This record gives sequence, structure tokens and C-alpha cells, in this order.
Amino acid sequence: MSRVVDAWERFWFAPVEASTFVLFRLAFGLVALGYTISLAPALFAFYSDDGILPAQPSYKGTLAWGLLGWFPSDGALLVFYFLLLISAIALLVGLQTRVAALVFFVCLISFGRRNPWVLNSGDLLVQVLAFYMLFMPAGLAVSVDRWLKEPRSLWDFPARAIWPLRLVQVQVSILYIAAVWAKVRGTTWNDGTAVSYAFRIEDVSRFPVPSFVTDSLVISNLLTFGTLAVELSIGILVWNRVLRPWVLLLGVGLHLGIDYAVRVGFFSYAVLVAYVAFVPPDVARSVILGGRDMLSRVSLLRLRPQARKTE
Amino acid sequence: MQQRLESTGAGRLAISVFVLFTVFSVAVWNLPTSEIKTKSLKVVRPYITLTSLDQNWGVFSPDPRRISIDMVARVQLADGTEETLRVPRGNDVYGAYWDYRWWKWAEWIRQDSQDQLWKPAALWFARKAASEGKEPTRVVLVRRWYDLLPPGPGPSRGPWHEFPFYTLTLTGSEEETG
Repeated sequence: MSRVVDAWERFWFAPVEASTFVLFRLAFGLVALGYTISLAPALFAFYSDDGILPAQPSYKGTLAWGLLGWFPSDGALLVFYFLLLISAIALLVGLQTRVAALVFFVCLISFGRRNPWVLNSGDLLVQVLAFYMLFMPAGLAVSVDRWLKEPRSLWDFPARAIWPLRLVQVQVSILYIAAVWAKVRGTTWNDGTAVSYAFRIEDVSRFPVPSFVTDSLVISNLLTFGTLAVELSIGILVWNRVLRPWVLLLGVGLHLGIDYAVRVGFFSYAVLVAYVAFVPPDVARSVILGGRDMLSRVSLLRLRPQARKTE
Repeated sequence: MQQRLESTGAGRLAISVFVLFTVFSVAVWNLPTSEIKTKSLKVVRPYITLTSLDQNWGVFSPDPRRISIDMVARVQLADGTEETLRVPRGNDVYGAYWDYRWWKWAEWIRQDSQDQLWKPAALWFARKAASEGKEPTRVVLVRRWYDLLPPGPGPSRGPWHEFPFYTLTLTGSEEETG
């Protein structure tokens, strides 16, 4: 019994350097900001009472909530949009990180509930990640919060319990297993033609895929079965420490390919954000510090000609 | 506060209950339709709805669509002319990150089961025409599609088809026909 308890403690509560939390925040903050900006062109068309859906659908008898249903005016819509935008920026820079995560989550869900007919799986994944973000101690370093509190330890990463990252990791695993399960019940994922169809749906296509890819049965079979193999591998083998980087690398390739060919919105980038939960803390630290060094080199290069002039 | 909670046995127990129930709920939500899912949903649905963890990873499943779709609004104007308004579409580089929501909506609105979306859509197209200084008198929503043929030798797609599925006549009080 005590071995089970120990294993549970290790799995959920082992202390890890906060660098992975911080990298997750930076990646999620970027997607959150892009997501918020992408809402602007159709803000009133989707969410105002003069738009394609005059009122929030009824969620009577459920615990579903949405602030835009309670405050349906255009003024309130603008207020919630700006709150969403400000909280996304605050998340990215780590300003009042916990509050920003909460405000972003509440506003994001409110937009989703106001018009669920415009959501795809990517929107849902951003919502799910926003929920997990609520529990991340992600403002501990490389943040305005830290800079205001202890500027000298801006780049130090104290240790925290790993459980919020574990929740995202489990979510990733479930996501892929559920995706494979849903696909294998179909016909075209079994006869190897699914990817050819998916690439030829004109209304969701993005950049062109050569016709020799979509017309060839052999290439279509390889891509279809390859997609299933990669998704199943990530769902299961991501828990193997040795294979993890390789299956995630395959996943990165898969999702960048999808993003190239199909209009999936933020789905691919949200998945890549979720992958960050698997990045070991020492690698996350190297990435963050490497990014800092690169940025400082760039800013030094920009400052140099100015400095010479003043000399 | 979270750190304080994590440092005590009672706190870790509370977090354990939370993570266990969250993982259980998400797993149940993603189960295939079955008796065990139906029964378990009674327990987890309120939590999933409250936290907005409702999710669906059936992208292109169980099969990708075997048709390409389009939806247009044919707007008749007071001067007797007709104008065709389309579902907004951005460019392929960054437009793809906002227009996909319009095409998700187009996927829904063409279905007979979603007829509650038709009148607001027709009114929205009418308002769009009116905002350009025109005087719309009738809006006809038309679904358009073509079949995708199996990969291999031969043509890859069929011809466009179209079917007007909703008409809104704009008088003082709008008349509609499905």
C-alpha cells in the first residue's frame, strides 16, 4: 500500500524546477494573444445581438455559464473583449499571472458559450488549456511579477509540485487515444483514403497540396495509416522516457503539416503548447535562457550604432 | 496558497481528490458511447460543464467529409437586382486563423437540424447589404456542394450542386419559408 502511495506522491507531487511552468506560460500566452486578436474581425458578427446569433443559447438545467449571456449589450461585449486581450498580454508577460489566467479563462469560456456554432476542436483545446493554466505557478520567474518582487532572481526557477503539468500530460494522452478511437470506427481511416479526402475539402483547405499526393492511393494510404500510427504512438509511448522526444517530434511534424494544409485555426498551435508540459525542466531552462541571450544580442546589435553616434 | 496546500498532508489529499476526479471526468467524457459512459456522465457532467472541460477530438472522424461545401445568400434588392453575398473568407496566410470559425458555422447552418440558425443568418446578410446603402427585399440562403470522388485515376470531384433552403421576405414583419 505504501508503495502505491509513494508512487502517487512521486507522480503528482514531485518538485520540479518551475522552468517548464514558465515555458508553458510563454507558449500559452502567445497562443492566447493570437487567439484573442483572431476574434476581432468577426466580434460583432458572432457575438452581438445584431449578429448571426441574436442571443446566447439556453443552457437551462445545466451548470453552463457565460457572462455574455448575462450582459448581452455591445458595450459589455467590448469590455469583455478588452479584458480578454489585456489578460492574454498579462499572461504572456507574467503580470498578476494568477489573476490574468482567471480573467482570461472566464472571458474565453464566455465567448465560447455565447456562440458555440463557431468553435472547432482547436477552440476547445485552448479552453481546456486555459483551465489547466489556472493551476500553474507560472509567474514565478521571467515575469513582471517576479521582477517587481525580486528583480535579481528574475531568471531563477524555484521548485514546485508537478501536478498541474501532469494534468496537461494526461490530457494529451487522452486526446490522442480518443482521436484514434474515433477514427478507426470510420471507413476511410480503414481503407487508407481519409487524408486524401481531408486535403481536398475546399472550404477547409489552406495552402495547396500537390495533386500527385491526393490522387495517389499509395501516398494517401501512407499518410492515413501514418497519421493513425503517430497519434496512437503519442497517446501511449509518450509515457516512455526514451521514446517521448521522438513521438513528440513526430507529433510536431504531423501538426505543422495539418496547419499547412487545413484551416484548423489554433488547433495545431494549441497542441504544441500542450506538448510543452512534457519538456524536462533543464531543457525548458536552456530554451528560456537561450531566448534571453538571443534577445539581448539582438538588442545590443541595435543599440551599437546609436552608441557610436553619441561617442 | 497553492504552495501551502501542497506542503501539508491534508492539502495534498485535497489536490489528489481534485486531480483524480478531473482525470476520471475527462476520461469518461472521451469514452465511446456505451452504458458505462451514460451512467458515469450523470456524475461527471456537472463538473465538466462547470469547468468547460467538455471536449471533442473527433477531427475528421469517423470519416472526413466527402463533400466540399459552400453557402451563399442571394439578396434581392428593391431596384429589382440581385446580389450574392458569401461567407467571409480571409487569405491563406493569416486569414485562415479567423475565417475558420465562419466555415464551422457554415458547416452547421446547412444542416436541416439547425434551422434555428437560418432566420438570424438571413437577417444578418440583409443588414450587411443594407449597411452598403442597398435596400434588400428578400434573402434566399443557398447551400452549395460538390462530391469528392475516391483518390486514384479519374476525376477527383463532381460538379457543383445547389439547393435554396431558406427564404426570408423582408416586409414590415418578416415572412419566412423553409
